[in-house]
Amino acid sequence: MKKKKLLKKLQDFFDADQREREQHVEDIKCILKKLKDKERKIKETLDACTDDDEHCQALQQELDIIYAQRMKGVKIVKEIKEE
Amino acid sequence: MIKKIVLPSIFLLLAYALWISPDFNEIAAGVAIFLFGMLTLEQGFQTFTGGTLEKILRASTDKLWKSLSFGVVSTTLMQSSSLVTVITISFLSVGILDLAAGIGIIFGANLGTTTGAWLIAGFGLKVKISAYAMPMLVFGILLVFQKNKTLKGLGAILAGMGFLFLGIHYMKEGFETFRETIDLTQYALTGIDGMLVFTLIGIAATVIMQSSHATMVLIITALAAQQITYENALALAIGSNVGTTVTAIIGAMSASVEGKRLAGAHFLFNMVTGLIALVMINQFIQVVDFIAQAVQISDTDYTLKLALFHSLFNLVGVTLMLPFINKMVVLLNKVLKGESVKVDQPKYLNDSAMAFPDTLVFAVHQETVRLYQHASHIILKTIGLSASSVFSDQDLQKLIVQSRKITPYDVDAAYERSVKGIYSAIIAYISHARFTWEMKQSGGLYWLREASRHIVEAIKDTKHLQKNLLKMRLSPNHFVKDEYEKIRYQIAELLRDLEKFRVQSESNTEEIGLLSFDVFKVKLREQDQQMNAAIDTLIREHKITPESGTSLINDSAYMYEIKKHLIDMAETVFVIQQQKITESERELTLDDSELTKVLQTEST
Repeated sequence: MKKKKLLKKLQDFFDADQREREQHVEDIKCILKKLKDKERKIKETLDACTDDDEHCQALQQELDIIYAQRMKGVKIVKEIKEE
Repeated sequence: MIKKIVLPSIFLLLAYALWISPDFNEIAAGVAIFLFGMLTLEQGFQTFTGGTLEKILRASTDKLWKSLSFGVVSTTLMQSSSLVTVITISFLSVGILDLAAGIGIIFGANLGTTTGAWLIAGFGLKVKISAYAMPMLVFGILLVFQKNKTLKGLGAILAGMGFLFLGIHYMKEGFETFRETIDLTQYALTGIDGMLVFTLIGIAATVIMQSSHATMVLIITALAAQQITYENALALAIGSNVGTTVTAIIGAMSASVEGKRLAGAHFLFNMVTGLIALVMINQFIQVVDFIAQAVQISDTDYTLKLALFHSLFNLVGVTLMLPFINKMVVLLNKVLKGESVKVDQPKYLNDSAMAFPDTLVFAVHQETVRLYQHASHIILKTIGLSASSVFSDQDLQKLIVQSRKITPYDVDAAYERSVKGIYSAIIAYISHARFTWEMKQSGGLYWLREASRHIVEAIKDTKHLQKNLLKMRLSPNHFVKDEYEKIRYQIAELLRDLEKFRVQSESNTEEIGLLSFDVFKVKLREQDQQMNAAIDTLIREHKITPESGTSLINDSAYMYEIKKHLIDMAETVFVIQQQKITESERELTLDDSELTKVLQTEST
């Protein structure tokens, strides 16, 4: 049992980079999820938005920005995985 | 209410007097021309302020005897004690002079102003003064039209002197013809009653004309035309000396406390001198007669004797009061206490917070937020809005329309009052701490220092924007007005959004705050592009002049800077220093080219 634990610790030590990469991906995924939630909320508001043109445009702009941020996040995740 | 009645009453009385007496017409016109000459002379000298005059003043007032001499010489040269007083007050206000030196100048100015009486009595009445006035006016006005500032100033001085001489000429002529029709001496009063009544008339005349110099000229010319008795002329001269302090007091009402103290000193000096002259009038007359005999002034040359009396009683006043200058300063400081300007001091920066790196950063952060709140109030006030209404749920567009009438707001004073103290304290606090703490905290402090700088820069840009904003609100061109309303709207909108963000970030409801700032950044770029495009179109379609267009371009640039500074500040203060930002969140923020791309996809 003690040997197994020791081996696991050793394996972890040598794969620190890999673990860091995984953690990084996890972090970005978490942010992407938050962005997705935010996007969904804004979309709902935008769908309900009918009369105030300026407000609708502002919401659409926010959606575009979130989309760009999400795409950037997805690209980073892809790059990390390719490594 | 009284003000509304007084001016029309004076107009009516004057109109009636001018209508019934052509001689009075000439005298009154003489006074008016004389006063206009004084105004022109003051204007001329003012063109030399802002450099030469200040340098001379600074070098020549470091000792009491110097400030006294400066008062005498400058008033003799400028022939205007009020201009010297005004300059002295402005120097007192900025702390270049202390009150004692200021009082010294005022004492000197009182002596210097008596040279005017000598000039008129000894020169003005004996030669045909108008012969000098005409060429002075011609050359003076010619110089006034020059572009060169110095020549312009010299022209104003020359023209001012010309008008002074012309005014004296008309007064003299008026009194001479007046003598042939009415004998004013029949109204002469003798004894104490006469002294008191004519002193009061002297005071009133000086208050109305706002110039003791003009009153003295009037007295001398009337005396030369034998329209008033010598004794009454002396009382009038005393009155003019006292009356001139009323002018200074009225002027100092709106001045700083230093100005009020100086006006107080002026009042004390002239009142005491006037009282001494009134009480010891017989002794003064005897001394004047004695000196006149000694310097071979004719016994009947009352005008020169009046000038001598004027100088003598002022000299006695200065001699008597000079040793008490310091006591006077103490008294005035006691009676006229400075309304200590309420300067906001830091609330969170204290020594105990300095003890721990984290509390130190937290204290600076809190103070920076406070600085931002003060700044947003100033910015909104400058664009004619109040923080309470902008930060409410009211329709912003309606608010802008309702508050079209922008009252000028003193940005400098507000900055001194609510920002400078806190900003300086933040800088001092950070400078004190940065060398003692490890890198992690000092990095945070560095960004907070930058945030404070952004706040101050935003205020500075608002000040630049204010100039045209106040001017253009009166523009008859509605296109120009509309663009300025857009500027006001966009600044107010950003401040409202940032305030909402601040409140949210304090309650930690905004989780990916840093990424939300990309929205502000895109909007900033978009609005800037839209405004510049709109201005180009307005110029191209001749809806606004290129001059208005360039002003708008400059002001939209100021607006861009204000908003950029505020966004940069908020990013640091409301997000980076407030929430735990992960490295991944930083990675996902859009860079310049990505922000541009978002804008481009929107426009297509």
